[in-house]
Amino acid sequence: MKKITLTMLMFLLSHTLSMAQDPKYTLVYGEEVELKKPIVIDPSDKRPIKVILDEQLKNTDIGYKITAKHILLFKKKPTPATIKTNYQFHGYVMDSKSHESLIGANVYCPQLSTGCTTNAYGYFSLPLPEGEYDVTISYMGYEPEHAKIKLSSNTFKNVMLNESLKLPEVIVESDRPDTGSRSTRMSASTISPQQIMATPAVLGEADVLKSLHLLPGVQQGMSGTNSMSVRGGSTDQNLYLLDGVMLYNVNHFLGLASTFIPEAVKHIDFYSASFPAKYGGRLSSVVDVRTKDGDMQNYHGLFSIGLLSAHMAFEGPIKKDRTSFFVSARRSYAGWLMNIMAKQNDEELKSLDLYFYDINAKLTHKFGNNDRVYIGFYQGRDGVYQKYEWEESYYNSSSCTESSLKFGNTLLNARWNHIFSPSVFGNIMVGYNSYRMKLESECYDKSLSLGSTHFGTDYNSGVKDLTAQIDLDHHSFSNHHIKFGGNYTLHKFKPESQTNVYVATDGKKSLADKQVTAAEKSDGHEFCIYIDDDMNLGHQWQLNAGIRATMFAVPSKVYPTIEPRLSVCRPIGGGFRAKASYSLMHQYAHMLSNSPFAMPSDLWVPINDKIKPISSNLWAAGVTYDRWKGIELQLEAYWKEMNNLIEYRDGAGYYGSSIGWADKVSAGSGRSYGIEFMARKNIGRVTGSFSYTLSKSTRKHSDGNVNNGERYPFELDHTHTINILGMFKLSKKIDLNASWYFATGGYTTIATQQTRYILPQLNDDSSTIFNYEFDSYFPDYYSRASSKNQEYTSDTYYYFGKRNNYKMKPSHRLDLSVNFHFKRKRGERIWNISLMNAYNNKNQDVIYTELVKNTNDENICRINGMTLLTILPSVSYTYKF
Amino acid sequence: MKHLLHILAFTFAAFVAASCEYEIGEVDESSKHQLIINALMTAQGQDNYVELHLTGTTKTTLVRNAQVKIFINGSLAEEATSDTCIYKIKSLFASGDKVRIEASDGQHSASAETTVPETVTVVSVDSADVRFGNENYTRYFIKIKDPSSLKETKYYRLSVVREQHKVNGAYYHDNELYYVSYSTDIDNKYSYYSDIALSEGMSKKSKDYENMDAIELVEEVKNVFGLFRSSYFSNGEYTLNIDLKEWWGHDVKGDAEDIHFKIRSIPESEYYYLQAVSVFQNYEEGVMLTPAPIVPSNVKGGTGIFSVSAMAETTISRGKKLEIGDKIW
Repeated sequence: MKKITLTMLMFLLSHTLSMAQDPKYTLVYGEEVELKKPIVIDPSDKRPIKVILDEQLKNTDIGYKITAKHILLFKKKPTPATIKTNYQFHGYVMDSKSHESLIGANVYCPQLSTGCTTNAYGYFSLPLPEGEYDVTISYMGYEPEHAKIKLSSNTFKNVMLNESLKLPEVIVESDRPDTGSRSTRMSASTISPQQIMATPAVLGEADVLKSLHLLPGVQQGMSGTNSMSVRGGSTDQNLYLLDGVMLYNVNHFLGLASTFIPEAVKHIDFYSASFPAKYGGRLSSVVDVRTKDGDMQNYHGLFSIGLLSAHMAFEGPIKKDRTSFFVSARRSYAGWLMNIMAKQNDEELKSLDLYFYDINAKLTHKFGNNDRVYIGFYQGRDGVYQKYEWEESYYNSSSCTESSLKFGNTLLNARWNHIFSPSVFGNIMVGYNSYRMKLESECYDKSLSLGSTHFGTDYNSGVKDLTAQIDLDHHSFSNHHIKFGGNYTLHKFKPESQTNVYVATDGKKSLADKQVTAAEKSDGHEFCIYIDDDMNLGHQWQLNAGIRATMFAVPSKVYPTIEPRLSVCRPIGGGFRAKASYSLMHQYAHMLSNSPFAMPSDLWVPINDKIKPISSNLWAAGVTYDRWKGIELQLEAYWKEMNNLIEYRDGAGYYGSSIGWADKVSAGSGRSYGIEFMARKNIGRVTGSFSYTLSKSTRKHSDGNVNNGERYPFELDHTHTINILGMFKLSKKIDLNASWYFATGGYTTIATQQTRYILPQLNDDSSTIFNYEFDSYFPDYYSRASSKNQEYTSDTYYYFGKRNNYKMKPSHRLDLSVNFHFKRKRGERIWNISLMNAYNNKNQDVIYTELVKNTNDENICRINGMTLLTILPSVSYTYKF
Repeated sequence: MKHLLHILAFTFAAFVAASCEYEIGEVDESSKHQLIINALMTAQGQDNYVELHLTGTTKTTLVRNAQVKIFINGSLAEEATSDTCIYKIKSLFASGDKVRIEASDGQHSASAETTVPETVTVVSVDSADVRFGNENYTRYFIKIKDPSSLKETKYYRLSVVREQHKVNGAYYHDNELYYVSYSTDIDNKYSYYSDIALSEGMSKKSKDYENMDAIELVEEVKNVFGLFRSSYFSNGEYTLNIDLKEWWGHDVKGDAEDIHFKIRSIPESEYYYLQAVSVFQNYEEGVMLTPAPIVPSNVKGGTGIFSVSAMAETTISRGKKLEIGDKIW
């Protein structure tokens, strides 16, 4: 708005009056200023000019500003409080070609300095008094639409925006009330599909989650994986929503790729503080992914092939402007490649299939202006399959093993959007999500002489959610945007169950047996209601106050929680805005994991009567600046306290099932704090971002079961982190993208000394506890070890001491990608060439120690490192039609 | 290629190019030595002892001539010293005793405390013959009872000592045995795969399942110390279910076997100590997937384990040893 005001001043008409009191002032005002009576100044009046002007302009809509030589008169902007709300200007903002709704588009009335944005379904509702207005509707990457509206009643309008053929010239990101720099919220970002596609990724596989790694406060896990920690939180503290339904597993291939097909993604909102009250159930971040609805006008699609997977997407109308569909799919072909690369005689490798796939489908139907229905489906799977047969002529036998491991999500949702009144928009959703891991193995041995045996096992684990939800947006008041709603989710946790079958026969008699073991199934009932109000308090104060009340019931206990959420924002002059926020969050399910990778064996378990919900108190404060055209700056500091964090206690979690898992874990606390800076350039030939994070994150388990109760650093605690993303539009045909990542080392646990361990007798002599021979140097041990009745022996092995006792060296990496666009009459071809870790830096991903001899034949304890992601080129081809 | 998850992991590594390994440096030699107290004692045991060592960067060092003090329920019960690193402990303990150890070699000192658990009661031992493949096994069903497990999770360790007595030489005169000599072998092996508590919920009915590829989701960590906990008990009772391979000596006259089933109620600290030690072998084999096995210690000011268990023992004898005067026919 300030830009517009300044523009108007460029065309000011000036008028000069001679003033008796102080002739050095010139009175300047524009045509919008209508003086109903002349300003009269009595020469005998000795009062200050300010007092005189206040008196003369009292009860007018004219304001003034005194400079060295001028008195500038201007028309006062009506404050929001003075606007009388009579009617709603409401509707949907859509892409003019596809009629795809646009999320987060700005609808702005410059005359009244008021506006709103479209919600997650592209709907807006702007309360305005009766009259005629120019309204500007804008969205990043689209030509702004200027509409003249005459409001004498509630007015519905679908606004169609044309995709911009030029580089974007309008700054809209900063205006977004949810995530922009001018919004009340902080630590919130919107990621566009363009940014996802532009972020260089492993094997050219554009990835939603890897684009989030570039944001401040987000720490990457193992190189090349999607694992991420947000503001010192654990990897299971991120809430992933796909069209509003929670996903438990978002990884393929141990985290190499995420489950979100980039072509299906329309919009992503990311929050790491000042969480809207509608979100809950996780502590550290919200990743809200919305998928495309499908083109209501034309059929089109794409096909893409890369080193890791092939993608396709197809969309179009079933009935023009009424019903549309969107289908996308992706499948990897790692198994085929391995089969091809396998040596001729490597039957075992040749018998292997390894894959992942994702399918997204969505059906959208408009029943009119007031009602829309969406039905969405997603399924993603990782799979490993192997069938291996061999024969042994000596026994005249044949054997076969057949194993398959499958895990992934199936998601189904149905949503109904209804405009209850011009000022009340409703979204009603039912959703179903199932995460399941299934391992099946069978082994047959058939021998003419020895009979036959058949072993089989079937292992299952997973969690299923059934959700019903209602969200309402209320826009009646110009100073309040109220969101409220509630939901109920039935969580059905099935941590583990295993069925074993054994059948043996020697030709005369047979033995058959079946055994079923299962960990406790558990149902969790989660009820929640929330209300959230985005308020203009006047005097430029903006406040977002929300509250979320949740009740989580497990069979033995009910946990009620109240979560206040508060964000406040105020301009402090010079283009700066100060912000502060507070959020209380709770989490009711934990992921039991003992690996740095996203493993299918990771188990989600609910809280119970022993293990309380995890909670966090997050305070944040910061400033934003957006006075420079196309550039946004933000600086934030945060402090987060986490309670009841679950970790496997030292010595536990290495084997066995999740039965009685509560015994194996320790509840502790965590603390993280830091300062984050981000600069983002959104327009021009060169766009991109720079982020820097200074942070600290620690854990402490006062019960003494982890690290002897001493505070220790979190493994992804990188003190300094820098991310730079540059997107260069070299020409219409070529764009170059580069990202550079730097982080000081995280922490890992290594052996720092040798110690002695006392051991009872082993019940399995095929096992060796230590990798080297029994230490016979000491006669005491030698004699005792020789004694058959000796209950205990002891030996020397590595001493791991304290948790996360080794700080790794800083890591850095440059990733590059170039896209070549070739437009044809019938479509567009895109070649992508990527180079990960372009200068082949050996980042430390795995560290371990080893006892070896040095050149002087002396024992030394050597530290070894392992780099997983070395220089890695890739190429992919995309055809859009 | 044994496990599907390893396939996944290796494929991951292959896809993120050829991962490379390299040397970073050496562990700092100047790190402080710590006193190691190691003692896994039995409440009424006659052979209890404490071992003392010092940690080191590349090796451990014996601690001789140190002072070891044992306190029972706050009172000094015993002081011990030794010119080896083995310190014999003569004190006897009872369930519920709070036992504290203090050890010092003048330069280093450390202490630890433990509570002696309740002893389980062995209610019955039954057996059945089972056959897997070509192997004959005897399955033993050992029913135990521990009312204290109704209040909180309790921890146990099962060890089996098979004393196998083989006739070395036997001399008969007039159809009557007048001399016999025996040799005795000790065997501690047993198969726990059919037991849900000993396999921590991952029972497989038979040890033969081991032969099946990919049956484990992750690399299996073997319960080599026979640890289990009361989470699997019902009303404070549980029937252990283990398989012992048939000893060929059962078919030989005069050969005999004494099978001792020792069920120790152990403190929680011993349970997690031994569980972590069990994973060393897996750590060696797969550094990338297996987390560093941090072994919990209950020793303050040093490291190691100090534990007193309460043992219940029952013995099954099979076969009959020859005795002087036995008739050959």
